[in-house]
Amino acid sequence: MDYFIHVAILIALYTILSTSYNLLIGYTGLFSIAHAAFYGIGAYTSALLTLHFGASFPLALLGAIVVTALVGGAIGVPALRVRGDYLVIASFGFQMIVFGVMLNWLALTRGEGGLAGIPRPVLFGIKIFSPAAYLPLAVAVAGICFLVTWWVARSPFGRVLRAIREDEVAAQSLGKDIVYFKITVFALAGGLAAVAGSFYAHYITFINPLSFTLDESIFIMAVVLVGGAGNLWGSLVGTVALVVAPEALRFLRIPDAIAAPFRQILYGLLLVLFVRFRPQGLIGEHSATRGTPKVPAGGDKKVEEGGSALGTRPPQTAGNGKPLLTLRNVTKSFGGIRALDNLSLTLEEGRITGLIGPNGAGKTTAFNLITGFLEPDAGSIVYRGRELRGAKPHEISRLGIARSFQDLRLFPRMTVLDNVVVALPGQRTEQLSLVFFAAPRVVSAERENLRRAYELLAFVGLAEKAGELAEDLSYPEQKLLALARLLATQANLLLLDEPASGLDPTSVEAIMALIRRLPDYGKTICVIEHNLDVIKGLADPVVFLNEGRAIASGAPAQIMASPQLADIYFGV
Amino acid sequence: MRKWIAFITALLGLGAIPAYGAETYKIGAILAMTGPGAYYGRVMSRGPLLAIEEINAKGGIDGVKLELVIEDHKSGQPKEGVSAINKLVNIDKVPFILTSYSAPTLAAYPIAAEHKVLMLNGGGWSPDLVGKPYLFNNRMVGNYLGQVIAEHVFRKGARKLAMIYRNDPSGITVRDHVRPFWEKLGGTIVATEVHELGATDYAAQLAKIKAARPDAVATWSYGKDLGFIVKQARDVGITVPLVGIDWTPDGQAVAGTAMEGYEYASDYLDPDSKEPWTARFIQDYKKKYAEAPDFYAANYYEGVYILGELIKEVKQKGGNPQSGDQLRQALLAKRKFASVYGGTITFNDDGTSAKPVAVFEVKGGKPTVRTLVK
Amino acid sequence: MLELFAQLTVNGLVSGSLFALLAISFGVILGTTRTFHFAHGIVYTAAAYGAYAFAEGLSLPLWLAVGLAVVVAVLLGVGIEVFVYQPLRRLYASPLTVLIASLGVLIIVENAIAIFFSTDAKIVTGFPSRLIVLGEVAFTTLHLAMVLVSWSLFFILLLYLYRTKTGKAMRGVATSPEMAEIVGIDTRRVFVGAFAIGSALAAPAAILYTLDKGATPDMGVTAVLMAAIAVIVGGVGSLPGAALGGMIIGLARNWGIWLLPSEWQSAIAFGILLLVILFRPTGLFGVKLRKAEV
Repeated sequence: MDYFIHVAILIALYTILSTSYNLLIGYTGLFSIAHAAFYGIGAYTSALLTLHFGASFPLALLGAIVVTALVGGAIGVPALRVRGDYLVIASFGFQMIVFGVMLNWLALTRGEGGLAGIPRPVLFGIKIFSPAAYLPLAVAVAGICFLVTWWVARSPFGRVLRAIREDEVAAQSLGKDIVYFKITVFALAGGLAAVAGSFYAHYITFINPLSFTLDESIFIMAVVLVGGAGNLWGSLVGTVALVVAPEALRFLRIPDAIAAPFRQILYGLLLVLFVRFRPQGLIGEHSATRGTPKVPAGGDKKVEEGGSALGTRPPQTAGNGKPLLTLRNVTKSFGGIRALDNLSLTLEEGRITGLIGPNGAGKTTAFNLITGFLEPDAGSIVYRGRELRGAKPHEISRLGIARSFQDLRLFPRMTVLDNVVVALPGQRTEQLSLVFFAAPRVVSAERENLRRAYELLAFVGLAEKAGELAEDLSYPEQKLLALARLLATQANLLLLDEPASGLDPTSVEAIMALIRRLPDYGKTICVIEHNLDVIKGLADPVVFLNEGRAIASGAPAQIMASPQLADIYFGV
Repeated sequence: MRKWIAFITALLGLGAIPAYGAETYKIGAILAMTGPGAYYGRVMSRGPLLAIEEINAKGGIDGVKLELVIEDHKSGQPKEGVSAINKLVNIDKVPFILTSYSAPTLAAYPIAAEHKVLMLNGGGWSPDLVGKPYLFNNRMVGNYLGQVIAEHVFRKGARKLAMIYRNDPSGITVRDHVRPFWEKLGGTIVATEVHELGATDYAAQLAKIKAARPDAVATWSYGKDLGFIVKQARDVGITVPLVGIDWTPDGQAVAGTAMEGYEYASDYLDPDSKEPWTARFIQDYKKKYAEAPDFYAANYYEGVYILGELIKEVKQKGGNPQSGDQLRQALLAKRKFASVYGGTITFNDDGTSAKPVAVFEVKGGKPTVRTLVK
Repeated sequence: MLELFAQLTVNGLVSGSLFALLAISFGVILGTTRTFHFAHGIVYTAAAYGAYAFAEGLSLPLWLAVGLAVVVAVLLGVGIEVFVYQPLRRLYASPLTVLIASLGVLIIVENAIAIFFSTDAKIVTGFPSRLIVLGEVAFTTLHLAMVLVSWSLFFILLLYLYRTKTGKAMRGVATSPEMAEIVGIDTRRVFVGAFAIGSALAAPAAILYTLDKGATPDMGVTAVLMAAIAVIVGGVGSLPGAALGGMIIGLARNWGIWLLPSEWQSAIAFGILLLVILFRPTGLFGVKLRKAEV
């Protein structure tokens, strides 16, 4: 009986580890291989607090959570500087260093000898001694951790995590401070792993570094991958599967000498096979109950198109001419190539300005500079009297400037609705602290956000597709979604990068119709397009860019009538 | 699905067999079956298996045959030790466990004590293994061996000693014991380096040791680690005597000719012994396993025979030989047992035991006895 | 303590040379195919165990065992590319997915080796190693061989890449696979070639190490980590950078313990890695790690 209980406790422990790891790798796409290090830091901290300072178990647990969360957050910092593959190496390094410290800082950890005689938990005066007594505690703790993780994943905070996973650049362009999110999720994952570590230490009453090796991290990864990254129930299933199986292997009469490597081979095989044939795991992220999400209250009658969702500024008379954004002598070079050469241009409020020119003229580069993804070598970019140089993309987005991408950059594995909701600004409930301490506010804010998102989808004509995954839409539908997402940011200055490219004439008309309406809602637009009919139908004025300079600007008819410009454009 | 059914059936079935009067008497063993120390698991399991074969061939103990259930602590992982003892105690219901390595033994011990299961250690050295009521050791504690060899090399004229030791309780305890001992003799410790179990690269430590210019280098390590240390010491130009407290054919194979002249103190299993039991053990072991036994195999072989004696004692007094508690009482009462080393082994209250020890020197790739101690 | 420093420097130059060889073997694959070939570690290990199996198991002469071991490594490396990475690439799998598959392969083969050969260290004899003592410093002829072999192979690799047609094709693919396709280079073949070369270079590193310090099933994980760190330090895309990165790691590991206790030696490489990531992510000579490409 004790043996069964032991296995059940292990399942509880590994559920905590796998769900917290899932947050990191499944939800945020941060491929760290150092989860065992967090586990170990939590265990050692808790053990040392009770052994050397006589702390009670709850206090030691808290201490372990805090310390490990701090370490986790600190790891987030190098994580910001490197791309996915290199994060793995950095986390590998972290794992090895932590292991090395556990092994070699003998004064603190007693090295391989480990810490023995860790006091058993005393709760409400009762000392927890037998496995049967540990079990309810384990289940309770695991249950709480699961709830916490589940709540975080479902919250707006969790939604941004997934957006970051799908496309970090797009997330930034929507005003998300990815530094905050990455550091916070690392701290959170670390803190949760520490709970498992603390519990482990006070259960086995003996810890040494060998329980927190790379193999352990790999096991946790296998659990999450098999269960299903991005789905917490999947992690539970994966945990049960992978914890029970090796214990059952003891009875399969596999020769002792090969039982352990045999198990590892199984984990490796699971990794390879699942990644190849079932990357979504046993329970995929979007399985079962996904479908069209419930239309929020009052939404089943025909949603008023646009309306308040598009912004609260009253419609302005078109073309009031005030400069909204001014570029002055902006220069940008890449290596030996001058992409922008003393570019000066002005975007007037309430107008749709067209930006045309041959390939390589610097149009997209200009957008990148305006939105902070690149920094100009010289010149100034002023928006409403404020210099934009040096500002980060998410800061610029919050000022009211948003851009779309030539290659769309949607969040493919998020639903159409989520793609739009995540772009809504001012979601203070993306702050983790509010997710916990203002839960009712989160719930009601969500309802409001869903309503506004629906309005926007209705505006572009995608309301029936709300529950589909963005990657399942047709190309024209995806372009509409990109527009809806852009509008959701409530930005007043919209930079559209080839919104009509790759579309058939009907779809082009549809998009143009939508764009034409936007100044009525107080939007200022700048459009890059190669399709000159679109430009003719939408923009006034038009700016002609060539070799990084604005060489002409004026009404579209004028520009397109010029033979010299035609020569340049068609590259004679 | 089928696996689950089999699993549960096995559990229920095993639980239903009454412990007393069972067809076989189960003995548990928690050994290093996998990992860098797999050599030890191999030899430590062979000893008992040979003993059980011999005993069962004679009809078992009072007609009851013995059976060995081996679990793996993966070269010293405490978590595995706990898993292993949980299974042995709850499912196999063994009253007696042969254990090895300090860390998993220490982790498993509270459970043994709780369930009153008697443990016998033939491998670990740690001082933490002493003074535990349900744990006895028929392995010489490392401190004592370190002392013996230190004294030996001091008498040969060495005054400056360098130490390299394994980073675990067994290595640390010898380091801590030998240092004051050496200094009291009148020598100085000029370098102290540490290494991990299973490491194969000692260039760093040996460079530092060489620079400290010792008269002798002592290694508190064992198995293949020892072999690598000795070989690499010679490869980096260390020419002074090398001494230690262990030697295995494994390590010899790694070091090759570099091992010539290495001296060590150890439990004294004389390979050329004329003692009848010793000689027969060595011969039978060689026949069954195609290599000579080392003292680890001997310790665990002996452990089974000791258990045999305990079972007989308990039955004679009308007790229940499946009770670890009663086995323990019998051990404390009897104390002295015939030892496969020749002579007898005597257990102390604190769980340590007294056995013959000798200093060996490696000549021609084989250890030869230099001096006998005690 | 100068003698110690001198000995440590010699140790650093020797191990640095092996790291350099490892680094370029990994760098060739990463640079040409952009695949983070974690499983390179197991190609390394397989070469070591191959040499062991042929030399000790089958008692073949050492030179023959070495040659066969190189063949084993190349077959394994190319096999992984063809049967694991190519199918994933066809499915447009993300780099992270490929990485996980690579890790999985590493685990499988490493443990298969552990089962087949068991986990205690294996030694390969047969190299006539003699001690060379120069004043306070000592090393063996094997160590000398490590230095000579590593740098010879480095220069041969550079010659290949800059002087031969196939080598130039490989560099072309490394710079821009799309461009290479347009010019008519068969990128699939070049990829296989990169894996073959990378694996063939890892083999001597593995075998030389084994002759000195034995082989264990987990030797590959450390090896590929060191290789990756060296490549990052030197800068992705630069082979001389990778080689230099390898030397830096080898020397740092040894000079580091001149002052630190020896048990911290393995942490040194990771410390360097963290420093590089924090302060100079492009490495010494590398192409910018594409952070945010718009």
